Amino acid sequence: MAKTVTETTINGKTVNMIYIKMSNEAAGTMEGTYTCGELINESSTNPGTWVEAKEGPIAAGPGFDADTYTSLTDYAMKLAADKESLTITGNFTPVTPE
Amino acid sequence: MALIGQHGGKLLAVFNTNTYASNGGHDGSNGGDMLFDFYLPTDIDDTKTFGTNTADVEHGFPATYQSHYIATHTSGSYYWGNCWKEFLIHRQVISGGGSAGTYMQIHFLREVIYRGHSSFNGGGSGVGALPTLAVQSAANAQVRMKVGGDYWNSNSGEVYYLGGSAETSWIGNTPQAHPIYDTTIGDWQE
Repeated sequence: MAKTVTETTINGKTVNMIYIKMSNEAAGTMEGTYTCGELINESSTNPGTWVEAKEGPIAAGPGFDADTYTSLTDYAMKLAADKESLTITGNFTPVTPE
Repeated sequence: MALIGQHGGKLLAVFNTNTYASNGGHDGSNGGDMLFDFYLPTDIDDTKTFGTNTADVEHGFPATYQSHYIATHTSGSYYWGNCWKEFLIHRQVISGGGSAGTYMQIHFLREVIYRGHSSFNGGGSGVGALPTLAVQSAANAQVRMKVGGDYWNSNSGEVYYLGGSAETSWIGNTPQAHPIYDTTIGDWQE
């Protein structure tokens, strides 16, 4: 799931979340694209709009620590956060829609 | 090897969780996850053998050990995005001996996903990685699909049969056999 990160600014835009936007996973490897930015105007009647500060390529292979990460995507988010020098603070929980 | 089409992928099933929920199938208390069953098109060919010419290598071929190649496409319209997954399903119909029975195993092959919204299918809501497939009945070739990934009334999707032992068109197996695909033993060369 999307991760919250310590808020910072990249390319002049607020970054407080990161997630894997696109991925292609097969045979224990994945490659894709991460995005970091912020979700604005989220409410119980509106899923909100993603405002992207930066996207970039990311890949993850076999051998990730399955005790620490739930999936390759989960592990790839850690790699993407490291790449952008972002500090993950937790899992993002969306507002329950009405 | 019954033929339904001969043009590759065929649509096996579709679903819409809003319709499911509107008919009392879901009250939203279980996140976005719902269960949806579909069947592999194995029909009467489960135990058929082929070939009337005993000199033909087709003779005695059993259709009882099968591979089925399927794909699922799911999408969400609230936390929006698309997810394509491919699976290989093995099935064995064993009629005698100590291993008699019907068996089925599901293997995940690939996932290609696009999350337009940060909360689509594992981006923020639910456990993500949906849909998942499980064997519900090997004898009936029944597969139970857990769908979700978006808000509980905003998921829809399709199941495609891409090929395999049940419904793949058999090149060369026509009333007027093509010589290139002649499979009689006498014509085999190494």
